[in-house]
Formats: sequence, C-alpha cells, structure tokens
Amino acid sequence: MRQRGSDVAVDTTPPPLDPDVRARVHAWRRRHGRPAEGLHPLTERRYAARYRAYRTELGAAWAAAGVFVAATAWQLVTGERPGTAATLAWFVAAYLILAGGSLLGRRRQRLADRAIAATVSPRVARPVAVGARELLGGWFLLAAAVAYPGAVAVGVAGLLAADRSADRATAVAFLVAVAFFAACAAATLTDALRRPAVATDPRTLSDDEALRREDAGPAVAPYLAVLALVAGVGTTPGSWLLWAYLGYAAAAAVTWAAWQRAHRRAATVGTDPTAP
Amino acid sequence: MTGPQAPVIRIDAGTPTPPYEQVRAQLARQITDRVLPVGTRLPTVRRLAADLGLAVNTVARAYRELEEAGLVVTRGRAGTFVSAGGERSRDLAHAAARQYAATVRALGLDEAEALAIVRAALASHPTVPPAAAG
Repeated sequence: MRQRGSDVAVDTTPPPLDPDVRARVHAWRRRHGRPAEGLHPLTERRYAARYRAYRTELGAAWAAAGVFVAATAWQLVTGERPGTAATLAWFVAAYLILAGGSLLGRRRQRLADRAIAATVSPRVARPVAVGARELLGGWFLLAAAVAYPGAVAVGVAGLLAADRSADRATAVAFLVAVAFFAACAAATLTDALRRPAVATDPRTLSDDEALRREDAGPAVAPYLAVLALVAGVGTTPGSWLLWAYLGYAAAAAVTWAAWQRAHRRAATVGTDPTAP
Repeated sequence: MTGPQAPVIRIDAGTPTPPYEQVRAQLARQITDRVLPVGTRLPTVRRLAADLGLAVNTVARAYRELEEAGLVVTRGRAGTFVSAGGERSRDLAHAAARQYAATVRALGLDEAEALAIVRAALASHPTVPPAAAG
C-alpha cells in the first residue's frame, strides 16, 4: 500500500519478515491452532517483535555465559580465590549483561507494540471485563499462589525457626531473591494484563489474548524452585528446613508443569485455558 | 469471555458516527440481544478507552447514556454491570406487540398491512434519546 503525501510517496507496507522470523511465526501459528492460510499480518508483526526481543535476551545470556567462563578461566590462571572483590566484579558484570539484555529485549518489544498499535484501525475490544482468572486460567493463578506465598512461607519459617545462624542467613538470602523475583513477576503481569489491546477484528483480538498469556508466562517460571534447591544445598543436611525447601521446590515445579500442560493443550485446540 | 467467538466492540474512525455513539449503540444492541447477560461486568471506562484508542470522556459519555437508558448500572468501585433494564424493555416490547397483534386480528387486517403500519409508526418515531427512554 502506497500513500502519496503532498510531494513525497510514503510506503507504509511493513518490511517482509526474515526467513528465520517467518519460520518462527509459522511455528507459533501451528502451536496455537490458527488457520492454515496463516496468521493475520498484525499478529505476524507482533510475534516477530517478540522473537526479536527473545533473540536480544538470548544474545545477552550467551554474553553473560562467556563472561562467566572467562571469570572461571581467569581464576584458574591467576589463582585468585573466590569471594575477592576482583572475582565478584566478574560475576556482577555477567549479571548486569544478563539483566540489561532482558530489559533491552522487553523495551524493544514494548516499543514495537506501541508503534504497531499506532497504525491500527479500526480498533476492537472486549465489551466485558476480563480478569486474570479468565485470561490466564486457574492453573496459572495456582502456580503463582504456590510460587510466591509458598516461597515467603518457607523463607520466613527458616528465618524465625532455624537453629543455626548459617541456615538463618541462607533463609534471608532466599527471601531477598523471592522479593526480587516477585517484583519482576509483578511488572510482567501488570504489563500483560493492563496494556491496551491491539486488534482489528475478533481473530486478532484472540491472538492478542494468546500473546498476553505467553508474555505472562515468565511470571511463574520456576526460578524460585531452582533457588530453593540451591538454598537447600546451603542448609544443614537432614534438617526440617532442608525438607521444607525441597517440598516447596517440588510443589512449585509440579504446579508450573501443570500450567504449562494446560497452556499448551489450550493453545493446540485453539481454546482458552480453563480452571484446574 | 475470551476467544474468537466472544463478543467484541469495533470502533471505526472512518465512519461519520461519533465514537461515543458507536460504543453506546454496540453495547446497547449486545445488551438487548442478550449477548451480554444481566450481571455482566463491563470493562472500566479507562480500560475500554485505552483498548479502543479513545479519550476517557468519550467512553464515559457512552456509559452515562447507557445508564440513563437503564441498560447498565454503576455500583461504585465494583464497576459497571448490565442491568435487568434491558430485559424489562424487551418484555414490555413483547407485551405491546402481543396486544397489537390481537388488535390487528380483531380488526381483520392482513399481516402485510399490519407490518406496514408498524414500519410507518417506527419511521415517524426516530430513535428515542436514551434519557427519555427510561
């Protein structure tokens, strides 16, 4: 489509997708049971923006892994002991690269969504209030309820009732990590639930809701279950706190897996995830 | 209520109908057609405005007119809900239609003429302002 202004012709046709991105777009279409003729161009562009954000995050993860490997090699060569300021600097750099890549990817995705939304007409929306339960499904809420309040309960129990000071220190570190991940999850969920819909018809509105569900997914990813296992390693062997960490990790992993299964099944048959 | 079959509201900036009237008319039709059952919670004014790319006041005006027509009711901070007013309006229309049909049969008018009378009556009464409809 070409639009002619006063003296300059402006081409508003979106650029064609890279073959790699196009292959991902078609994989998403198949996963979500969308029609064989392909995705709506609006959804194609939105999913392509998400895939580019994912590639940014993946690039940062590889860079951070490179720094981590370099730090380990440097320690071996120089004989530097773990815990020194110089060693810590390497790991802080790796973390900053990882977090920076994640933030950059999310920001690019948001900006791309906004740019796409600015070009959309007509606009379509739901005439009913759609809550987190309707949009994300009961399994998602259950996984979130186990992941965060469960982690807080285990951490607080360890802080207040552990016999050894080392176990209490581990519980404090675990609670700090819980607070950090809860803040990240809150930001992710706020964005997924509250951002305006970008849709021109019922089909793209349904795609918009599928993208929201996917964007909300990292909020219940089992990072805290992994951290609980790490905290368990640092806890007195055989203690009740160790079993509490392990039990929490198992419950968080099981509810997350149940949500993943419900989400995949709903996406495959093209319906919405339902309650447990 | 999500998925491709769930009801939607569509705003087309290219039509001469003002956006608030597009919102009002579509919601009114979905309420009277029972696509939106009694008790359904509508999105907040801010949310619907953001989704449709409209000003908050535009959606607020549509909601206000729906409320004046008795189709929705606002329950403080709980939100705006489809009221039973839409059902009552439909029941009243059905009752009036039954009474009219009985009169037409008693007078011996044929169906085509009876429908023509209704069409003429509707044409002579353009859309009633929502404020006067309740």
